[in-house]
Amino acid sequence: MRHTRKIFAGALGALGLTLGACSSGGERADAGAQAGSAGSGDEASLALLSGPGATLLVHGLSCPLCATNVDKQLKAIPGVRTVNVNLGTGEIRVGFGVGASPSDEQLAHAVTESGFTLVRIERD
Amino acid sequence: MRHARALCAMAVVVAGSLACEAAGQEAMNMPAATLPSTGQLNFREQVRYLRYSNDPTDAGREVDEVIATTTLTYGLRSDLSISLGVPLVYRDTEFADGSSDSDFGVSDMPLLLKYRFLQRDTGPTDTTRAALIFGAELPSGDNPFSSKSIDPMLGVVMTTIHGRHGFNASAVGKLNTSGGGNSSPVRRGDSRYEALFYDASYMYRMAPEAYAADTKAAVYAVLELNGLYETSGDNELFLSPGLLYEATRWAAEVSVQIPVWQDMNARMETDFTVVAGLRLLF
Repeated sequence: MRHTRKIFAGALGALGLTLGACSSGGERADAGAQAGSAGSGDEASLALLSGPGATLLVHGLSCPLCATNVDKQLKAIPGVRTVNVNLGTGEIRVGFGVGASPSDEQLAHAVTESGFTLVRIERD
Repeated sequence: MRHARALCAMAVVVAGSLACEAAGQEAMNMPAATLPSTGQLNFREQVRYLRYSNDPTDAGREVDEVIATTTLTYGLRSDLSISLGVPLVYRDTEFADGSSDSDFGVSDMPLLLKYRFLQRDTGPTDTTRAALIFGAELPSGDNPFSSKSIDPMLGVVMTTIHGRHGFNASAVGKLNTSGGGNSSPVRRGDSRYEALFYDASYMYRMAPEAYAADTKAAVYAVLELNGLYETSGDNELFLSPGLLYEATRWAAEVSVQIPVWQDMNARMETDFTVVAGLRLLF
Protein backbone atom coordinates (compact mmCIF):
# COMPACT_ATOMS: atom_id res chain seq x y z
CA MET A 1 0.00 0.00 0.00
CA ARG A 2 2.90 2.35 0.78
CA HIS A 3 4.20 1.93 -2.80
CA THR A 4 0.77 2.72 -4.27
CA ARG A 5 0.54 5.98 -2.36
CA LYS A 6 4.06 6.94 -3.50
CA ILE A 7 3.16 6.21 -7.11
CA PHE A 8 -0.03 8.26 -6.85
CA ALA A 9 1.89 11.14 -5.28
CA GLY A 10 4.49 10.92 -8.03
CA ALA A 11 1.83 10.96 -10.71
CA LEU A 12 0.19 14.00 -9.11
CA GLY A 13 3.56 15.72 -8.99
CA ALA A 14 4.10 15.04 -12.68
CA LEU A 15 0.64 16.42 -13.44
CA GLY A 16 1.45 19.50 -11.36
CA LEU A 17 4.74 20.10 -13.19
CA THR A 18 3.00 19.70 -16.53
CA LEU A 19 0.31 22.12 -15.42
CA GLY A 20 2.91 24.66 -14.35
CA ALA A 21 4.71 24.44 -17.67
CA CYS A 22 1.52 24.55 -19.68
CA SER A 23 -0.13 27.40 -17.79
CA SER A 24 2.86 29.69 -18.31
CA GLY A 25 2.97 28.67 -21.96
CA GLY A 26 -0.76 29.24 -22.15
CA GLU A 27 -0.36 32.72 -20.67
CA ARG A 28 2.19 33.53 -23.36
CA ALA A 29 -0.12 32.11 -26.02
CA ASP A 30 -3.05 34.09 -24.65
CA ALA A 31 -0.96 37.26 -24.71
CA GLY A 32 -0.17 36.54 -28.35
CA ALA A 33 -3.82 35.89 -29.11
CA GLN A 34 -4.71 39.30 -27.72
CA ALA A 35 -2.44 41.09 -30.21
CA GLY A 36 -4.51 43.57 -32.18
CA SER A 37 -6.27 45.04 -29.15
CA ALA A 38 -5.26 48.39 -27.71
CA GLY A 39 -2.49 48.73 -25.18
CA SER A 40 0.92 48.04 -26.76
CA GLY A 41 3.06 49.32 -29.60
CA ASP A 42 3.12 45.93 -31.31
CA GLU A 43 -0.65 45.66 -31.10
CA ALA A 44 -1.11 49.17 -32.53
CA SER A 45 1.17 48.29 -35.46
CA LEU A 46 -0.81 45.12 -36.05
CA ALA A 47 -4.04 47.13 -36.06
CA LEU A 48 -2.62 49.45 -38.74
CA LEU A 49 -1.75 46.43 -40.88
CA SER A 50 -5.24 44.91 -40.56
CA GLY A 51 -8.07 45.56 -42.97
CA PRO A 52 -11.74 45.63 -42.14
CA GLY A 53 -13.48 42.69 -40.59
CA ALA A 54 -16.76 41.24 -39.50
CA THR A 55 -18.68 40.62 -36.31
CA LEU A 56 -20.28 37.22 -35.94
CA LEU A 57 -23.06 36.48 -33.48
CA VAL A 58 -22.68 32.86 -32.36
CA HIS A 59 -24.73 30.76 -29.95
CA GLY A 60 -23.72 27.71 -27.88
CA LEU A 61 -20.16 28.75 -26.99
CA SER A 62 -20.73 27.52 -23.40
CA CYS A 63 -17.18 27.81 -21.96
CA PRO A 64 -13.66 29.32 -22.37
CA LEU A 65 -12.27 26.11 -23.90
CA CYS A 66 -15.10 26.04 -26.45
CA ALA A 67 -14.26 29.62 -27.45
CA THR A 68 -10.72 28.50 -28.28
CA ASN A 69 -12.14 25.85 -30.61
CA VAL A 70 -13.92 28.42 -32.78
CA ASP A 71 -10.90 30.74 -32.57
CA LYS A 72 -8.70 28.12 -34.22
CA GLN A 73 -11.24 27.25 -36.92
CA LEU A 74 -11.63 30.91 -37.92
CA LYS A 75 -7.89 31.59 -37.92
CA ALA A 76 -7.48 28.71 -40.38
CA ILE A 77 -9.36 30.77 -43.01
CA PRO A 78 -6.95 32.55 -45.40
CA GLY A 79 -7.15 36.29 -44.81
CA VAL A 80 -8.29 36.10 -41.18
CA ARG A 81 -5.74 37.87 -39.00
CA THR A 82 -7.36 38.30 -35.60
CA VAL A 83 -10.21 36.67 -33.69
CA ASN A 84 -11.62 38.01 -30.44
CA VAL A 85 -14.40 36.08 -28.72
CA ASN A 86 -16.79 37.73 -26.26
CA LEU A 87 -18.35 34.89 -24.28
CA GLY A 88 -20.73 37.30 -22.58
CA THR A 89 -22.50 38.44 -25.75
CA GLY A 90 -21.58 35.64 -28.19
CA GLU A 91 -19.97 38.19 -30.50
CA ILE A 92 -16.82 37.16 -32.33
CA ARG A 93 -14.85 40.00 -33.87
CA VAL A 94 -12.92 38.72 -36.89
CA GLY A 95 -10.21 41.01 -38.28
CA PHE A 96 -9.09 40.57 -41.88
CA GLY A 97 -5.69 41.24 -43.34
CA VAL A 98 -5.26 44.19 -45.67
CA GLY A 99 -6.91 43.36 -48.97
CA ALA A 100 -8.43 40.13 -47.66
CA SER A 101 -12.15 39.44 -47.55
CA PRO A 102 -13.16 35.91 -46.57
CA SER A 103 -16.66 35.10 -47.72
CA ASP A 104 -19.68 34.70 -45.50
CA GLU A 105 -19.74 31.04 -46.51
CA GLN A 106 -16.19 30.54 -45.24
CA LEU A 107 -16.96 32.21 -41.94
CA ALA A 108 -20.21 30.28 -41.53
CA HIS A 109 -18.49 26.99 -42.36
CA ALA A 110 -15.81 27.62 -39.73
CA VAL A 111 -18.44 28.25 -37.04
CA THR A 112 -20.39 25.14 -38.05
CA GLU A 113 -17.25 23.01 -38.08
CA SER A 114 -16.54 24.26 -34.56
CA GLY A 115 -19.88 22.83 -33.43
CA PHE A 116 -21.73 26.09 -32.75
CA THR A 117 -24.64 27.99 -34.29
CA LEU A 118 -24.07 31.11 -36.40
CA VAL A 119 -26.89 33.62 -35.91
CA ARG A 120 -25.70 36.46 -38.15
CA ILE A 121 -22.70 38.14 -39.75
CA GLU A 122 -22.24 41.90 -39.78
CA ARG A 123 -19.52 43.29 -42.01
CA ASP A 124 -17.75 46.57 -41.48
CA MET B 1 12.77 -2.43 -10.09
CA ARG B 2 9.17 -3.12 -11.01
CA HIS B 3 8.05 0.02 -9.20
CA ALA B 4 10.68 2.08 -11.01
CA ARG B 5 9.33 0.86 -14.35
CA ALA B 6 5.82 1.84 -13.27
CA LEU B 7 6.93 5.34 -12.31
CA CYS B 8 8.84 5.80 -15.55
CA ALA B 9 5.90 4.61 -17.66
CA MET B 10 3.58 7.02 -15.92
CA ALA B 11 6.01 9.89 -16.44
CA VAL B 12 6.17 9.11 -20.16
CA VAL B 13 2.39 9.05 -20.39
CA VAL B 14 2.07 12.40 -18.62
CA ALA B 15 4.84 13.96 -20.73
CA GLY B 16 3.18 12.66 -23.85
CA SER B 17 0.09 14.63 -23.00
CA LEU B 18 1.76 17.97 -23.78
CA ALA B 19 0.41 18.21 -27.34
CA CYS B 20 -3.21 18.50 -26.43
CA GLU B 21 -6.67 19.79 -27.00
CA ALA B 22 -9.31 20.24 -24.33
CA ALA B 23 -12.96 19.25 -23.86
CA GLY B 24 -15.20 21.79 -22.14
CA GLN B 25 -18.20 21.27 -19.88
CA GLU B 26 -17.28 17.67 -19.18
CA ALA B 27 -17.37 16.40 -15.61
CA MET B 28 -14.61 14.21 -14.20
CA ASN B 29 -16.19 10.77 -13.99
CA MET B 30 -18.72 10.68 -16.81
CA PRO B 31 -19.04 11.67 -20.47
CA ALA B 32 -20.62 14.81 -21.90
CA ALA B 33 -22.35 15.52 -25.21
CA THR B 34 -19.59 17.96 -26.23
CA LEU B 35 -17.16 17.08 -29.00
CA PRO B 36 -13.91 18.52 -30.37
CA SER B 37 -14.34 20.55 -33.54
CA THR B 38 -13.54 19.04 -36.96
CA GLY B 39 -9.90 18.08 -37.25
CA GLN B 40 -9.13 18.92 -33.62
CA LEU B 41 -7.29 16.56 -31.30
CA ASN B 42 -8.17 16.37 -27.58
CA PHE B 43 -5.73 14.92 -25.10
CA ARG B 44 -6.69 14.19 -21.53
CA GLU B 45 -4.64 12.72 -18.71
CA GLN B 46 -6.40 11.53 -15.59
CA VAL B 47 -4.91 9.81 -12.54
CA ARG B 48 -7.07 7.85 -10.08
CA TYR B 49 -6.26 6.37 -6.69
CA LEU B 50 -8.71 3.71 -5.56
CA ARG B 51 -8.94 1.56 -2.45
CA TYR B 52 -10.98 -1.64 -2.36
CA SER B 53 -11.98 -3.91 0.52
CA ASN B 54 -14.63 -6.39 1.61
CA ASP B 55 -13.40 -9.18 -0.64
CA PRO B 56 -16.19 -11.68 -1.50
CA THR B 57 -13.60 -14.43 -2.04
CA ASP B 58 -11.77 -16.37 0.67
CA ALA B 59 -8.52 -14.52 -0.08
CA GLY B 60 -9.51 -11.59 2.14
CA ARG B 61 -7.81 -9.08 -0.16
CA GLU B 62 -7.34 -5.39 0.38
CA VAL B 63 -6.35 -3.59 -2.80
CA ASP B 64 -4.90 -0.21 -3.68
CA GLU B 65 -4.78 0.93 -7.28
CA VAL B 66 -3.35 3.85 -9.23
CA ILE B 67 -4.77 4.20 -12.73
CA ALA B 68 -3.35 6.73 -15.20
CA THR B 69 -5.60 6.99 -18.24
CA THR B 70 -4.60 8.82 -21.39
CA THR B 71 -7.51 9.56 -23.70
CA LEU B 72 -7.10 10.78 -27.25
CA THR B 73 -10.19 12.20 -28.97
CA TYR B 74 -10.31 13.38 -32.57
CA GLY B 75 -13.07 15.37 -34.28
CA LEU B 76 -13.99 13.53 -37.50
CA ARG B 77 -16.83 15.97 -38.17
CA SER B 78 -18.43 18.65 -36.07
CA ASP B 79 -20.98 16.05 -34.93
CA LEU B 80 -18.78 12.93 -34.84
CA SER B 81 -15.66 12.12 -32.86
CA ILE B 82 -13.56 9.06 -32.12
CA SER B 83 -11.66 8.38 -28.92
CA LEU B 84 -9.25 5.82 -27.53
CA GLY B 85 -8.42 5.47 -23.85
CA VAL B 86 -5.31 3.68 -22.58
CA PRO B 87 -5.32 2.93 -18.84
CA LEU B 88 -2.06 2.11 -17.08
CA VAL B 89 -2.76 0.32 -13.82
CA TYR B 90 -0.59 -0.28 -10.78
CA ARG B 91 -2.18 -2.56 -8.19
CA ASP B 92 -1.03 -3.43 -4.67
CA THR B 93 -2.79 -6.41 -3.06
CA GLU B 94 -2.55 -7.53 0.54
CA PHE B 95 -4.00 -10.91 1.48
CA ALA B 96 -5.51 -12.04 4.74
CA ASP B 97 -2.62 -14.47 5.29
CA GLY B 98 -0.19 -11.54 5.42
CA SER B 99 1.24 -12.00 1.94
CA SER B 100 1.16 -9.28 -0.68
CA ASP B 101 1.52 -8.86 -4.40
CA SER B 102 1.77 -6.04 -6.91
CA ASP B 103 0.95 -5.86 -10.59
CA PHE B 104 1.49 -3.29 -13.30
CA GLY B 105 0.05 -3.28 -16.78
CA VAL B 106 -2.40 -1.96 -19.32
CA SER B 107 -6.09 -2.48 -18.80
CA ASP B 108 -8.68 -2.88 -21.54
CA MET B 109 -9.01 0.14 -23.82
CA PRO B 110 -12.29 1.78 -24.82
CA LEU B 111 -12.46 2.73 -28.51
CA LEU B 112 -15.58 4.83 -28.90
CA LEU B 113 -17.42 6.93 -31.45
CA LYS B 114 -19.60 9.79 -30.27
CA TYR B 115 -22.32 11.08 -32.60
CA ARG B 116 -24.20 14.24 -31.66
CA PHE B 117 -27.78 13.91 -32.88
CA LEU B 118 -29.28 16.88 -31.06
CA GLN B 119 -28.03 20.46 -30.85
CA ARG B 120 -30.10 23.41 -29.69
CA ASP B 121 -28.04 26.53 -29.07
CA THR B 122 -30.35 29.10 -27.48
CA GLY B 123 -27.95 31.82 -26.32
CA PRO B 124 -24.31 32.91 -26.39
CA THR B 125 -23.41 30.13 -23.96
CA ASP B 126 -26.72 28.28 -23.53
CA THR B 127 -27.10 24.96 -25.26
CA THR B 128 -28.73 21.53 -25.09
CA ARG B 129 -27.04 18.60 -26.79
CA ALA B 130 -27.39 14.85 -26.93
CA ALA B 131 -25.08 12.22 -28.37
CA LEU B 132 -24.88 8.49 -28.96
CA ILE B 133 -21.79 6.68 -27.70
CA PHE B 134 -20.91 3.39 -29.39
CA GLY B 135 -17.85 1.24 -29.78
CA ALA B 136 -16.06 -1.43 -27.85
CA GLU B 137 -13.60 -2.07 -25.06
CA LEU B 138 -10.56 -3.63 -26.70
CA PRO B 139 -8.62 -6.27 -24.79
CA SER B 140 -5.10 -5.39 -23.73
CA GLY B 141 -4.43 -9.08 -23.01
CA ASP B 142 -2.47 -8.00 -19.94
CA ASN B 143 -3.07 -10.19 -16.88
CA PRO B 144 -4.74 -9.59 -14.49
CA PHE B 145 -6.24 -6.44 -15.97
CA SER B 146 -7.78 -7.71 -19.21
CA SER B 147 -11.07 -9.44 -19.95
CA LYS B 148 -9.40 -10.80 -23.11
CA SER B 149 -12.56 -10.14 -25.11
CA ILE B 150 -13.87 -7.36 -27.34
CA ASP B 151 -16.80 -6.00 -25.39
CA PRO B 152 -19.29 -3.81 -27.30
CA MET B 153 -20.50 -0.62 -25.68
CA LEU B 154 -23.56 1.49 -26.44
CA GLY B 155 -24.95 4.51 -24.67
CA VAL B 156 -26.46 7.95 -24.75
CA VAL B 157 -25.46 11.21 -23.08
CA MET B 158 -27.18 14.57 -22.71
CA THR B 159 -25.69 17.94 -21.78
CA THR B 160 -27.57 21.15 -21.10
CA ILE B 161 -26.10 24.50 -20.07
CA HIS B 162 -28.12 27.52 -19.00
CA GLY B 163 -26.36 30.48 -17.51
CA ARG B 164 -24.15 29.33 -14.67
CA HIS B 165 -25.75 25.89 -14.49
CA GLY B 166 -24.78 22.79 -16.41
CA PHE B 167 -26.32 19.31 -16.29
CA ASN B 168 -25.14 16.03 -17.77
CA ALA B 169 -26.83 12.64 -17.77
CA SER B 170 -25.64 9.41 -19.37
CA ALA B 171 -26.25 5.69 -19.56
CA VAL B 172 -23.72 3.36 -21.18
CA GLY B 173 -23.99 -0.43 -21.39
CA LYS B 174 -21.19 -2.93 -21.89
CA LEU B 175 -21.65 -6.50 -23.11
CA ASN B 176 -19.10 -9.12 -22.02
CA THR B 177 -18.69 -11.34 -25.07
CA SER B 178 -16.28 -13.90 -23.66
CA GLY B 179 -18.41 -14.94 -20.75
CA GLY B 180 -15.12 -15.28 -18.91
CA GLY B 181 -12.80 -12.46 -18.07
CA ASN B 182 -11.09 -11.85 -14.78
CA SER B 183 -11.42 -14.72 -12.33
CA SER B 184 -11.32 -12.31 -9.39
CA PRO B 185 -12.37 -8.92 -10.74
CA VAL B 186 -11.59 -5.80 -8.79
CA ARG B 187 -12.47 -2.81 -10.97
CA ARG B 188 -15.87 -1.62 -12.03
CA GLY B 189 -17.09 -3.44 -15.13
CA ASP B 190 -14.24 -5.99 -15.14
CA SER B 191 -16.34 -8.97 -14.15
CA ARG B 192 -17.76 -11.53 -16.59
CA TYR B 193 -21.18 -9.95 -16.30
CA GLU B 194 -22.82 -7.26 -18.40
CA ALA B 195 -22.60 -3.75 -16.97
CA LEU B 196 -24.69 -0.61 -17.10
CA PHE B 197 -22.95 2.64 -16.15
CA TYR B 198 -25.39 5.42 -15.29
CA ASP B 199 -24.28 8.90 -14.34
CA ALA B 200 -25.54 12.42 -13.71
CA SER B 201 -23.73 15.65 -12.90
CA TYR B 202 -24.42 19.24 -11.97
CA MET B 203 -21.82 21.89 -12.75
CA TYR B 204 -22.13 25.37 -11.23
CA ARG B 205 -19.92 28.17 -12.50
CA MET B 206 -18.62 29.82 -9.35
CA ALA B 207 -16.60 32.45 -11.24
CA PRO B 208 -17.00 34.59 -13.17
CA GLU B 209 -20.52 35.58 -12.27
CA ALA B 210 -21.07 36.63 -15.88
CA TYR B 211 -18.92 36.12 -18.94
CA ALA B 212 -17.39 39.25 -20.46
CA ALA B 213 -15.15 40.23 -23.35
CA ASP B 214 -12.04 39.67 -21.24
CA THR B 215 -13.09 36.33 -19.73
CA LYS B 216 -10.17 33.92 -19.94
CA ALA B 217 -11.05 31.31 -17.32
CA ALA B 218 -13.87 29.86 -15.25
CA VAL B 219 -14.13 27.83 -12.05
CA TYR B 220 -16.85 25.22 -11.62
CA ALA B 221 -18.09 23.28 -8.60
CA VAL B 222 -19.13 19.82 -9.75
CA LEU B 223 -21.32 17.22 -8.09
CA GLU B 224 -21.77 13.82 -9.73
CA LEU B 225 -23.72 10.66 -9.08
CA ASN B 226 -21.91 7.70 -10.63
CA GLY B 227 -23.70 4.36 -10.67
CA LEU B 228 -23.03 0.85 -11.89
CA TYR B 229 -25.34 -2.14 -12.20
CA GLU B 230 -23.97 -5.54 -13.21
CA THR B 231 -26.05 -8.57 -14.17
CA SER B 232 -24.43 -10.43 -11.28
CA GLY B 233 -26.79 -8.34 -9.18
CA ASP B 234 -24.02 -6.04 -7.92
CA ASN B 235 -24.92 -2.38 -7.50
CA GLU B 236 -22.86 0.60 -6.50
CA LEU B 237 -23.51 4.33 -6.42
CA PHE B 238 -20.99 7.08 -5.71
CA LEU B 239 -21.38 10.74 -4.78
CA SER B 240 -18.52 12.65 -6.39
CA PRO B 241 -17.85 16.28 -5.53
CA GLY B 242 -15.13 18.07 -7.46
CA LEU B 243 -13.66 21.27 -8.81
CA LEU B 244 -12.88 22.18 -12.41
CA TYR B 245 -10.71 25.13 -13.42
CA GLU B 246 -11.01 25.89 -17.11
CA ALA B 247 -8.85 28.38 -19.01
CA THR B 248 -8.83 28.95 -22.75
CA ARG B 249 -6.05 26.46 -23.42
CA TRP B 250 -6.03 24.13 -20.41
CA ALA B 251 -8.15 22.81 -17.58
CA ALA B 252 -7.39 21.13 -14.25
CA GLU B 253 -9.77 18.86 -12.38
CA VAL B 254 -9.99 17.21 -8.97
CA SER B 255 -12.68 14.93 -7.61
CA VAL B 256 -13.36 12.34 -4.94
CA GLN B 257 -15.80 9.47 -5.26
CA ILE B 258 -17.53 8.41 -2.05
CA PRO B 259 -19.76 5.31 -2.01
CA VAL B 260 -23.33 5.99 -0.92
CA TRP B 261 -24.75 2.57 -1.83
CA GLN B 262 -22.97 -0.70 -2.41
CA ASP B 263 -24.59 -4.11 -2.72
CA MET B 264 -21.72 -6.28 -3.89
CA ASN B 265 -21.46 -10.07 -4.05
CA ALA B 266 -19.24 -10.72 -7.06
CA ARG B 267 -16.65 -7.95 -6.65
CA MET B 268 -14.86 -6.04 -3.94
CA GLU B 269 -16.30 -2.80 -2.62
CA THR B 270 -14.64 0.52 -3.42
CA ASP B 271 -13.82 2.46 -0.25
CA PHE B 272 -13.09 5.71 -2.06
CA THR B 273 -11.49 7.18 -5.19
CA VAL B 274 -9.40 10.32 -5.60
CA VAL B 275 -9.16 11.77 -9.09
CA ALA B 276 -6.90 14.44 -10.59
CA GLY B 277 -6.51 15.36 -14.22
CA LEU B 278 -5.34 17.76 -16.88
CA ARG B 279 -6.84 18.81 -20.18
CA LEU B 280 -4.35 20.79 -22.27
CA LEU B 281 -4.28 22.83 -25.46
CA PHE B 282 -1.21 24.09 -27.28
